[in-house]
Amino acid sequence: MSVENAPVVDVDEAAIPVEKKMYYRFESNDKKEFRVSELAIQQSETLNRLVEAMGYTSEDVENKPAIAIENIDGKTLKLVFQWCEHHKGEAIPVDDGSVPKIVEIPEFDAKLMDIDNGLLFKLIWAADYLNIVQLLNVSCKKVANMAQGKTPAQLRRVYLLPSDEEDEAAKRAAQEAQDPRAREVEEEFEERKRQGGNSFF
Amino acid sequence: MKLQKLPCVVFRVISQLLDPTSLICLSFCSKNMKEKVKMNKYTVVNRYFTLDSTKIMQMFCLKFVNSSIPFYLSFGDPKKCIVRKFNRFNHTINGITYNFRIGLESMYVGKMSDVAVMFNLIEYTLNLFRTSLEGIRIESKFLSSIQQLATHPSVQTVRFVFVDGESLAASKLFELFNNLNSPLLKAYVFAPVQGEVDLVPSLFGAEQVFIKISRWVRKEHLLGSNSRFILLRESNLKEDVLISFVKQWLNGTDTRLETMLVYFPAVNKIDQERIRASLDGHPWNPEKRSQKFLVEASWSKEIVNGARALWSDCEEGLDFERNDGLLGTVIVSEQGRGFFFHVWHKRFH
Repeated sequence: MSVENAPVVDVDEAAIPVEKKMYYRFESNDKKEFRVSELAIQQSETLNRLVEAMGYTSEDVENKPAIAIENIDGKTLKLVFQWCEHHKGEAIPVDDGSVPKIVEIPEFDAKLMDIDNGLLFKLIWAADYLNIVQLLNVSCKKVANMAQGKTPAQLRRVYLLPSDEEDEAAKRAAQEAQDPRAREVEEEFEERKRQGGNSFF
Repeated sequence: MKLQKLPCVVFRVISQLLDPTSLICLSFCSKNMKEKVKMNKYTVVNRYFTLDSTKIMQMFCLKFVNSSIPFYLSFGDPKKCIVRKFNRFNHTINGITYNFRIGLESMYVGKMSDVAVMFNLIEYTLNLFRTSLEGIRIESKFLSSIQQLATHPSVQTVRFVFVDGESLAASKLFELFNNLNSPLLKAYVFAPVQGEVDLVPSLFGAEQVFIKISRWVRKEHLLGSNSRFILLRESNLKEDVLISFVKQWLNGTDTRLETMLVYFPAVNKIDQERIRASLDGHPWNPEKRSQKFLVEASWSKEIVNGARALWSDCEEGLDFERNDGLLGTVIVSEQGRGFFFHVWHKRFH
């Protein structure tokens, strides 16, 4: 099945007939709505638990508002659900570290992930957030493949890696942003020292 | 793609899927990245400082459990026909600058023999993957100092030592084995050794010893040995040494020895009758032991190509039962070219 034929549909573009199979409705953070089959949802541990907990009937699915996924935009969610529909019913790998991780990227996934790095980053983030193990594996494999044969300088560019100095600066900035009171105390201490006091208290 | 912004669990998945070359290069990018790479758990099944297949350079080899091809860090130059395909860069580790070239599943740092320089990089890599060196296969002409190698902290952990080459001075062999502290599982000497070798307990204390050209091995080496499997080829040992060895075993308490095989060149063959006459043994009694002894030594393949174990026919062997009940069998080949001694820890094989 090609990427184009994957049964994930933006509601705006086409309507999916409601069959005996249950299709859940999800909404991205930019208000795009998707209908996704029950079987496809099983690829996502997070969504599967969510719909199980909700216990929706076919009527609920149609009548109640779409389930909001706050952290993921429509473009990314479309890719996620296309992937889930294509791989629905497939076994979900158990990753307990007991077996070495060997991942091959199937043709469908390779085409699906023929996207810019920004969107790939969002896809990985979504796969992790929605706990879709195999999608996380293949998308991470794609990222890993980008490193092959690259020098450290090339890796810095590909992965936008900061230098030691930039890391240090970011760390300092984060510390300051986290605890403004600490900076005030430090300034007060310095001021008292200038005034000749030995003790802060 | 901001790799550092990805959650830790995602970075861990990516690390598991990166090839070793990329992980090393990534660790060179920043201190932060080095720590991130280091935090992951890697299963490395082979960790050797070894020789390449054509024996023209030393290399460091790691075999990860999730990769079918080992990773090589070569202390030499890649083949000239493919050299243009390699990406190059310089990187400094502990004040030493290396000129790296990246190949498929391998990195080259140019021809070098300075042990300190090579092991500075090896130690960095071992540390990155949180592992230790398992064995070394060396040729002295590729190394600036055997002493420096043997005393290096990374080498102190090795369990397998293989010495290759066309020639090795006795002093170098002594330097190597005398400085290794951990008990060895395998000690193989393929190189012909020139000169008198002092006693080297760590060599003859290895569980499995194989000396390909053993003309230098003397009575003192043999009587001082504490190995489980010994294979000596091209030996110069005489009948009296072999008789002393058997008698020492018979009167001693050694419970480790399982098999010693000694082969002689035609010019130095031994006298079967002299050995049989000097040892007060008994012929095979089928109620006491099997006819054939199974030799499960890893050096079996040095006798029969590809063999994992060997059957030794002991029908004509001379048996000796020790006070503690251990049974030993001596076999001398009819042509006087082989002397085999087996200890029956298990009577029936």
